[in-house]
Amino acid sequence: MRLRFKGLFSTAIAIAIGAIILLGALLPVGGLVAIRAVLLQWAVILAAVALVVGVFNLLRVHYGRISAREKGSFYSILLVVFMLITVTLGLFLGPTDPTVMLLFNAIQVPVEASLTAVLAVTLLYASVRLLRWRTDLVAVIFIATAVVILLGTAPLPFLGSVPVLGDLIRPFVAQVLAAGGARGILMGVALGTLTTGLRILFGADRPYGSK
Amino acid sequence: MAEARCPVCNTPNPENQENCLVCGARLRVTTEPLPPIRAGQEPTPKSTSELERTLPGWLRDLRSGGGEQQPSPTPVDPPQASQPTQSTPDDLLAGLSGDLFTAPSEEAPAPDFLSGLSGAAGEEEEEAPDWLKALQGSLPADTAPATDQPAQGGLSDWFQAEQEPETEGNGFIESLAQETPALHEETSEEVADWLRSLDTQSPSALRSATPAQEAGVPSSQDGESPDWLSELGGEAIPSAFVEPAAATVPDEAPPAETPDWLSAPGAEAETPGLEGFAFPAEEAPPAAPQTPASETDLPDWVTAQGEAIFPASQEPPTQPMPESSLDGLDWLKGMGVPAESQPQDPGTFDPNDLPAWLSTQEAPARATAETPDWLSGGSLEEASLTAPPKALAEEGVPPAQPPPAQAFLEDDSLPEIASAAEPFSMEMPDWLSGITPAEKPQPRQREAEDQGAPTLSPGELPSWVQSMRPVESILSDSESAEEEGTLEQKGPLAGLRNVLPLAATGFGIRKPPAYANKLSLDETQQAGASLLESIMAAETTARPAKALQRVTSARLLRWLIALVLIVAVAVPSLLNTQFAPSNTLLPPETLAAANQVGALQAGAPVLVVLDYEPGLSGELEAAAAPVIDHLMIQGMRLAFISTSPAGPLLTERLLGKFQGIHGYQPNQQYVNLGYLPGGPAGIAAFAAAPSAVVRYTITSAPAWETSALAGVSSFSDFAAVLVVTDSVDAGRAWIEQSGPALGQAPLLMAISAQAEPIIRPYYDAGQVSGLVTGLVGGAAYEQVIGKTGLGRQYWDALSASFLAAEVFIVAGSVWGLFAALRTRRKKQENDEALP
Repeated sequence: MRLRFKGLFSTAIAIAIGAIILLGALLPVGGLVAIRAVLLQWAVILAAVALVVGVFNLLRVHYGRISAREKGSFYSILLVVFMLITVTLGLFLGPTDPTVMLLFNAIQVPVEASLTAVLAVTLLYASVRLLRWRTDLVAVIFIATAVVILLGTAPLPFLGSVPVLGDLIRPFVAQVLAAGGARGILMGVALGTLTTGLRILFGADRPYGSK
Repeated sequence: MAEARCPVCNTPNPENQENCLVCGARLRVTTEPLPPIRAGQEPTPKSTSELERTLPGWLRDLRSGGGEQQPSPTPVDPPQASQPTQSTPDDLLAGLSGDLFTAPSEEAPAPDFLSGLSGAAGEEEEEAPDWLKALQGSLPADTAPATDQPAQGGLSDWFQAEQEPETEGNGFIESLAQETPALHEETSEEVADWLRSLDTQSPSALRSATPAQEAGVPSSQDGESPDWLSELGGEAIPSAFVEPAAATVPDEAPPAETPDWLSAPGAEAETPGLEGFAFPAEEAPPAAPQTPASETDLPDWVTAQGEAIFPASQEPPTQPMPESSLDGLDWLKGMGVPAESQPQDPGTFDPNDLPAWLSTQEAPARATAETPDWLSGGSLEEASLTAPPKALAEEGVPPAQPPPAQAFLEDDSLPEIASAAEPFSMEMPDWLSGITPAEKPQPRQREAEDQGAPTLSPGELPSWVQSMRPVESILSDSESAEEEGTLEQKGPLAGLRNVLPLAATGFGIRKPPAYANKLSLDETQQAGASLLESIMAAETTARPAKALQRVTSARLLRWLIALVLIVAVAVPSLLNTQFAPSNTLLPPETLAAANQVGALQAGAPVLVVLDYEPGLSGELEAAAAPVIDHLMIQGMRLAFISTSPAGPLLTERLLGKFQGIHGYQPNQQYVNLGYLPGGPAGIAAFAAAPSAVVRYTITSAPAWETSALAGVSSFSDFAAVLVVTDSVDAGRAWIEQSGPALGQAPLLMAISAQAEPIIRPYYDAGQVSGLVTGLVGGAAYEQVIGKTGLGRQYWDALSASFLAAEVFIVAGSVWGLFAALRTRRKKQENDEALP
């Protein structure tokens, strides 16, 4: 009975807030807009707190690995150490401090950029080996499309843009074929989001913990 | 007027008379031809008249003279009387047949065999043997017959009267041999010997030998008859022979000359000795009224015995014979004949009354287990058939008479007799063949059970019966009998044939067949076996170890790709080359973005959203830098915000590149609002009430109080919104959540190339006013604004890296395609190579 009441209360809150936010977006009424703004602010605060909670959760997890002396705990130690250092530097020095910016520009940006670069090499290697692994029409189309986009995107050294490819084929592929597929994806995402929102509003889905 | 002559007394009788007016014998034979006897089988009627051709020569000779019935007072020799070995038994049988069967008269047509027999007997008369003549002389002349007719004389007389065409005592055997040719031929030679010896014996010796046997086997009904004769009759004539005669000729009376001991059974057409054990007293056919024989007509020894046995009356005794008197009649007891059927009166029989010669013969007989040696010690063939009569005579034993043939035929355990007689069944008279041994045993056995007499089980045969079994002598020469089955050699079934199942006799035992150990397989089975064998061989055959894969090939390729890309990117960047020509064709969205920026009022607040990750900072900075540079060129106040935690630092990183160029100062020309949490909700909230959501800058200064955000209270107060993002979701969130709140202000986007397909629809839909995509877009934007920035700086590197990537992809794809085809071909070849 208690659980049922709790569930009903949670569902009622979720439905009510959803309805207010929806009505506030559709009906720019003063009260609704104010309530909607307040609720959205609560959401931002909760998201920020969730981020902090996430940071603490990350610290706890890696602390647990360090305490358990699990494999890779050394990296956990580094993570925890540098997290604390960053937090400490950020809290005390500020995020715009040159030291913090140095740490950011010298560590985080190159690391993530390197990962992206590795991703570029890996994708290229996969493209090279694709037809050896899979010699079907889709693979051939994939490879052909990639080559066409690359040739049409950037000009060849000393040669410039490949005629037809840069101004016709590449735009056609990127703006028609890819855009068409992307629109379909977006439409699907929109319908899914709408359905999910309605289900939450109707209480069919209760992602807030209750069944 | 025709008249029927009596076959017994030869007295003419009226034609319509059935019985003789004198002797009462039946004038007509009423018996019907009967089928031959077969052991264990029902007889089948046969007509022997059509089988005359198969008759032996002597019998045909007899038949040839059958029409002549010439009474002859002299004994008649058998057809082969010149051969003493055959004539003697024939005579004896003939004499017996005269007792057993009624001789047909001329008026009453007799059966063929009888007619022929009588004729033959009449034609071939011979003198009686000496012994019989002596016997005739010793017999009284007026032996009282058993019938009403008075005795006509001695033995020869009654033989003559009884068998006119036949002879005296030898005729008994002769007639029997004629009517049982099978037995006659079977034993003719052996019997002839002993009969010859018997014939050659002196009457005294015969007389001394016969009572000795008689003493051991006293007659049951007619003690007057000599036992040797009765036994002889019993041996020679089975009960099957006797029974029909007794049944069909009950009223025949022996001739007057016939002595009582012989005429009485003769009236009943049976041998007295046989009758006693063949039928119970109750079942004995009614005999014709018999006149007690005169003792003067009987020999002494017969008279003495007759007195001892029947002292009071001549009626057949019906009282049971004592066991003591049956000591010598084990064969008789063994036949299951009830004691009552033995008409011997125990009280009247006194062994002491026996004559001396009989007593002397009885003593040794009783000394030897109360059974005569010839009967107990020897088998049938030994005692009666094979033993030389002379040797027997020397031992003081009378000529061994075959045991009663009735025992053979009535005994079910002795089918050999019947089987032995089968070959001769065609030659047997019809009336004889019709007599089966199975006719009488049932009432006899029933009577025996009623009287409580012990029945003889097949396994408890008396020794003398076992010894008499015709194991080899009778049936050894019969090939047909041997073909019928296995002859038992041991046990109670010894002498019997084909009585056990074949399996029990080992007939089914044979050497087991030799089976080949080679399998006979058809083609399908052989193919399956070959396949299985090849599979097994493949499993057991060591496969060559797989060559170690060159891991270095893929790794080398990766390193080569990386190296090439690094070189392609680094060399142009480091060398600041300009080998890649810029795009001559500017993207329209980029131009739109530049136009929108260019259209902004100078000093207007512009919201710049930096939602990208540090890893894509290179691309997005190159794409966003020309726009931001353009904004700074325009003197716009910039407010930076990010939905990514790294956004604020990226903002500082990006602005740091322009610090030296445009001199923008934080909180004055630009403000870093920091991180906007909540995703779409935070965007929506910020769009709804920016000042309420973000109150402070990254430096903890009141954001809405800075000069950069002066005059901005709502989201729509921003003159433009520039969203720099690599994330589709972030771009969508800003477009969807802030678009309605933005109002007429343009929403510009600088995105990564990977987000173009998703963001472009918003541009195409008008929700995004300008779009700068990736490095290409940034380079193009630089071209638009006429400045050289990161776009151009990275352009050669981009061109070179793209070229390297294109080469790698094309080369690798071609190589991979051929490699795949080669691999597929090898696989197909391997598949084809496999069976």
